[in-house]
Amino acid sequence: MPVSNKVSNKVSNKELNNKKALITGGSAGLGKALVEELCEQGWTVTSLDLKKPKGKLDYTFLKTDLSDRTVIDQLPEKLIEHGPFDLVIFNAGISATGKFEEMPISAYEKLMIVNAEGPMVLASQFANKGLMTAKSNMAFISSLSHYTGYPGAAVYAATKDAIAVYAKSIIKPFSNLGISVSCAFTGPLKTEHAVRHSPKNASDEDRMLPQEAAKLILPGILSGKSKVFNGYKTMAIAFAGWLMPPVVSYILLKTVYNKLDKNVF
Amino acid sequence: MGRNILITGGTTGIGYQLVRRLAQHHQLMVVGRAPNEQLIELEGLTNNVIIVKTDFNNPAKAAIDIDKAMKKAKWDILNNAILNAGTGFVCDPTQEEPAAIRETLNVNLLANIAISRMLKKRLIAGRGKITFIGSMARKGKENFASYAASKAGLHGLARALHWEWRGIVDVQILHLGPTKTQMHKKAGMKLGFSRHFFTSPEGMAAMIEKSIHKRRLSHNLTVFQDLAGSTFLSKGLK
Repeated sequence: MPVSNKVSNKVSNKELNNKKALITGGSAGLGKALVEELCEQGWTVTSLDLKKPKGKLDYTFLKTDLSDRTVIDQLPEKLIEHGPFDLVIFNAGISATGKFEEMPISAYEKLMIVNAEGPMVLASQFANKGLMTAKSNMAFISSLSHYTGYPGAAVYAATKDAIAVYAKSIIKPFSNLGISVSCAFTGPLKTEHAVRHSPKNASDEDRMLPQEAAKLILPGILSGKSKVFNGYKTMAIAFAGWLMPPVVSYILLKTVYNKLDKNVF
Repeated sequence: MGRNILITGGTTGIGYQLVRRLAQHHQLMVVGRAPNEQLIELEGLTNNVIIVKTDFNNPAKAAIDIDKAMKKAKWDILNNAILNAGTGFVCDPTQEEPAAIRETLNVNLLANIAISRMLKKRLIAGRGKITFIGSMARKGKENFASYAASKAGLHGLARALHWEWRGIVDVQILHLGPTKTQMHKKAGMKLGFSRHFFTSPEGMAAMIEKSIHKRRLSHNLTVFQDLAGSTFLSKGLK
């Protein structure tokens, strides 16, 4: 019998798939795109974020403040009924752009908790509290800045470097539990977050749509690749940064840092 | 006389050896969790060593404590800041306690962020330089995951600041190889044959002092540089 409408297609996907995914920061940008893509593929998705997206959702949304240490500590307990997960993507991230010394230390603390400390704490808790299945995938989202340096967002760059190296370090110990660990390095995306943090009048023509990026990184994560890029262009910039870090940092200094007109955190 | 130099984590290990080397010619502010007896003795003998007690696990407060001590000592200019304080715990990352991860990130990364942010004005006034002490583990280490992560973050911070503060304040990061300090014992690491590749804290302190004048962003200091004679081939801090 031919399946004609989209809804029944989705249902059959769900029966086929029967797998559970957890995405942090799933209400906007790349996270939203990942959630939508996974729902499309028939996954049972749980999304953690501050704001609930409008409309009817075909996934579970849990309102969660990922910059709050006590919330993070209680999270594994809270998630047991929604797990165990076959896929966890620590996607939530914030930034602080501007002159390093002008932003308050409280903003840096928050940045550290959301981008690095939280994912690290949750990763180890998920592993030892049995929240991941034996053949599961875990992914962290770092940034292209790991390969280039990022004047104008020193602490953001620090958190993204930290998470990239953490992901690399835990590959082997986690593989003993059957969990593969990936780290995605994404280049500039066309998201609200990116617009807020870039210089005024910056062109967004070169930026990739989050939906496109989600489609490009998901197969890599699900096959357990340790490093995942959203396309060859990102990979090429990463290679250039690896080859000649001072040159790429200098270009960023001229094109981003010197044009920043405000501090955003 | 001499320079105004801030050394964090200067109460034990490599930091303490640095204090011993630099105390002869410079004004030092030594910041640490618990000063050892020899250091207190040193402070008593000379009038150019100031000890400040603080806990780097509370980054915002550590920066405030140092700022207060500098105001009290009337340090309006700073020539060198050697941000050396660090901590780490060896364990299987699937079993790592949240408190250990938080302490590692606080001490190795967030405290350095808070302190360097607070020091900028004084460093500009003293045409100064920040030397972050990183680690060779920054490329990733299996049973030292959050330590490696924190040091990678420190590298990212130094790399960004090196460019942001270009022409105003020099920023460098020195990545140290394994050193025979208390950290490994405290971290629960057993040294077997590998101890032969460990540098002594004295040797490492000498290499750090002699790398400070170098202009590149990052340098690796390991037993190989030590054997190659980097402790006596370069100049120290004048």
